[in-house]
Amino acid sequence: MVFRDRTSLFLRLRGEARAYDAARRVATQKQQRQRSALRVGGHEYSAVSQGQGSRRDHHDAHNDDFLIEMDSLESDGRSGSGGDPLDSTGDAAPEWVRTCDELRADMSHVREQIAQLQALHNVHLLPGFGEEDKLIEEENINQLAGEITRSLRTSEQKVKRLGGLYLAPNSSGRSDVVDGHAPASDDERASRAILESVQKSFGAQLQVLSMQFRTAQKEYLKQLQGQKAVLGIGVDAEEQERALRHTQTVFLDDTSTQFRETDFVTVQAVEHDTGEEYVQQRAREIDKVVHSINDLAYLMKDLSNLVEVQGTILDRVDYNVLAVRESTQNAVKELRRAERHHRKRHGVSCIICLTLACGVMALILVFKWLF
Amino acid sequence: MAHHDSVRNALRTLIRGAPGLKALVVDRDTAATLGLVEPYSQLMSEEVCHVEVLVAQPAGARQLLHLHAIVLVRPTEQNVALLCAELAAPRFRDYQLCFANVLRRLAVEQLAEADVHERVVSLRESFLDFLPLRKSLVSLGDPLGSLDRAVDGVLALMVMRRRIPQVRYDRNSAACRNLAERLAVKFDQESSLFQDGTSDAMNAGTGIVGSRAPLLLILDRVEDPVTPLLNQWTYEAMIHELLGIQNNTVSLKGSMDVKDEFEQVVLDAESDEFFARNMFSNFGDLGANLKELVDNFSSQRPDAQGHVRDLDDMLRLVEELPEFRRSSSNVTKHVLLTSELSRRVDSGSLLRVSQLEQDLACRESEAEHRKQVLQICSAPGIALKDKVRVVLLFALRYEQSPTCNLSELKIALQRAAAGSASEDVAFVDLVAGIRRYAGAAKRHGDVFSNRSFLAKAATSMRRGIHGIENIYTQHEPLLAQTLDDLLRARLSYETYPVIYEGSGGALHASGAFSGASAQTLGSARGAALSGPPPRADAHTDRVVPRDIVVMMVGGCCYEEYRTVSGINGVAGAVMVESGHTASAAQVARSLQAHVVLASSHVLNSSMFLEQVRRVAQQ
Repeated sequence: MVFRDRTSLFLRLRGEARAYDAARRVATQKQQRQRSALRVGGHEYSAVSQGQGSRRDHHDAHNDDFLIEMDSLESDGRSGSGGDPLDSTGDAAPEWVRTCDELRADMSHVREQIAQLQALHNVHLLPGFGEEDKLIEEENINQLAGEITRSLRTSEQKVKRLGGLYLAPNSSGRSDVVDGHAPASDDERASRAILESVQKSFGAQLQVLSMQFRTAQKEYLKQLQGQKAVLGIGVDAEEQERALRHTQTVFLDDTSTQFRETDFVTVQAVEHDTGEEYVQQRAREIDKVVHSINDLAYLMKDLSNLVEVQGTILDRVDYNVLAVRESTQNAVKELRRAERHHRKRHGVSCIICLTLACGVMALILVFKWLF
Repeated sequence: MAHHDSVRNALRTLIRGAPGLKALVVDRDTAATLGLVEPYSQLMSEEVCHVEVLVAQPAGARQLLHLHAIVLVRPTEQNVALLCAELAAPRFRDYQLCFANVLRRLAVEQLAEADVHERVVSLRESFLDFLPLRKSLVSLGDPLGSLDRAVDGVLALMVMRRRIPQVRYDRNSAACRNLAERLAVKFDQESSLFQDGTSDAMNAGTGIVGSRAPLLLILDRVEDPVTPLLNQWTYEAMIHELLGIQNNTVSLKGSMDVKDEFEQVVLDAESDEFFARNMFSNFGDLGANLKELVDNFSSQRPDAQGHVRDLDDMLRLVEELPEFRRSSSNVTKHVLLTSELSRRVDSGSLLRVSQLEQDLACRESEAEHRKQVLQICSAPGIALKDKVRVVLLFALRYEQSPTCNLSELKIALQRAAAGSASEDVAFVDLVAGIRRYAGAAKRHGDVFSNRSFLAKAATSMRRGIHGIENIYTQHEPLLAQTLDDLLRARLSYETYPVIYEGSGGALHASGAFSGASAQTLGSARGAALSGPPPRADAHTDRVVPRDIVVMMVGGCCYEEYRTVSGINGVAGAVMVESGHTASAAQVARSLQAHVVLASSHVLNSSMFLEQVRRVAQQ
């Protein structure tokens, strides 16, 4: 909404500052070289003095002693730094980042597909002639629904896999080199937290998508049913079945899908063999039960506490950031103190024990010497 | 709603502007603003996977090179220094810097110099430098009420509204004058910020029509020391008075036996429909409404519909479960809050205290009041703080009465304080302090309506004719009267002079007046003057602005917010049918005017007493 962009001013100033720095550095280096060349001939010494000198110079010039640190970092780490930071991280990008990119691509694809599907639904629901056209449309719809189901499932697996990649960013890459001395536990916790929120973020998006898909399909079915009812035609059970199956097997495990498939086949077989009215009815009822169970399984799996959290303190950013931070800091402090306490007590008791033991031994010695 | 939404929109624009996985770096103030407008889950779905507070990082802190950082902080020197350090040893892939207010050029230079790795992608200023607590209530989250913070906050608020306002202030208050002068300079300096705000399309979403400059009216708390001293009986105000609302959250810690889950609860009118409907209901109505809510809830409990018979039932049950759990926690929250309020009311005999308080605020009867105040002071079971408040009210009301002798009351208070908790004892000395803070000499308005014979007569007439609907909510804050005068174009330009003419000015007067009530039309004849006010009566011709921002120096109260909401036409917010609020609301409706209340912080009586003590000590 209301922004004032000051990037151009910033960029200009930064350019000036860099140019100034560069000029300054060149000048000081030249000076150094001259001075050290004048002063000493020894290689080692000149190098050292140059380093120190330039450090002092920088300090005097800008009162920024970090500049030097950065210089060294630049020279040892990144080639062509100051350009695109992507270069430096491109190779070492941990797997989860790649997975995220994939997921993002997948999701936008699915989003498109769902839009497409809805368009197809609308077309199909329009009254029209030509039985064959209708059939082709149905075929298309089913195919698309199947594709969406598949991509949703793979996406879900990817999200799950994200959880397993906790330590991936630690395994390689130069980030390790830079902060090798940072406490590992903190690192791990931080990266885990980030991964978790990434997982949640994608999970939520995925959930929204699958919900969207599901409702689209349900809506379509309902309208189809309504249409057929109006026309006096019984709902094409098989068609309904097919559409439903796609919506429902989205998040089912493979085994249950197979079970569903075989179940369906046997139902069909029975239906075919006897051809009796009531068996058909039975079959349909069994189908209904299976649908319900599938729906239930799906829902159970999908049931997230996202809705519950909304509107409570847990969903407040400031609370999350500030309060949690404070409480963790306090907890850490307490733990430290407890640990110190603990150790001290150990030490003290140890000393007391040993002193006592020494005393006893001394007594024994004395007694032994006396008698 | 306007500022709430514009803050949210600005935030979303900011977040969506960055690609890929994002980290958000905030400071304490912006975190609070963020918390008010955007839920965490929403941030998460925008691929913000890391939120942190800008602090000095230890050497060798972890690098998060795969995250794009969005930095949203106030442009304080400390923050700029921290950012410089951060940029010198960058942890994120790149940085989008966004400051919540105007950034000085010097700071831009510092940042430019520090950015040796050239990780900064953009540098922007957005104007989120305030806390949009409610629809028309803005706080700056600054209980000390510093002038600089107020200037920054009001500037940001006005930039968000895209208009340079006309500024009027209370002439008798030095604090108001200072703020007004500083703001006038600021508006001149930063006029470029407002330049894109002239098209009406931008205002379509904010509900502000026309191109007249809004009005910024700067008032002082000192004018009305009564409102924050009263016990409140509407839901929101009560919660703040008895439990304390901070940034729309209430801590229930230490009260009764609450589960961890409910130790801190959120009171947000956006996500909590019951609260939105009932924040202005009085305590009695609230009880009834709450009962209805509980009844409704228990009837929609899934298992109340009979046994789960088949899978469809179970399916429905599971489908409804999250929603059900959510409304369950909402119901629990309100039941807890209400029962805690009711417990405190009973234990402190607050009904009795409040009756006297309201009477003191609204009616003149010195001898009778003195007797009652003495009774309250000696009564057991009433908290010392409440006794102090009653005495303070008495001292304020009868300050200029020749027979007013407070020594008796002070002795009574000291006797009561002898056996009381140590914390509140300090308040006993405030009897002199309150006069120094907000005595009659400091006030020019007529908060008790007892300065002139006419005002007295009018008050007693009104009371006689209309009667009193509810003795616990008969008081109306002075703000209602001020706004009523303002909306009816009666507010004196002598006591509330114009210090700054806003953009647009009064030139549109004749055209924009079709919607005004006949009464106001009579007083507004054609074009008005512009420029600083040379003489008071020349300004009676002025137009009433439709977009009004009231800045209360020294804190506002939820009762005043209720008044403002009432004027804005929120149903149920008007308590006194024949009062100033109702009358102002009527004009506001015909003018389509909208009032926003802004202040450095929202007061309750404890905070106010503390503030009085601080000022009196200086």
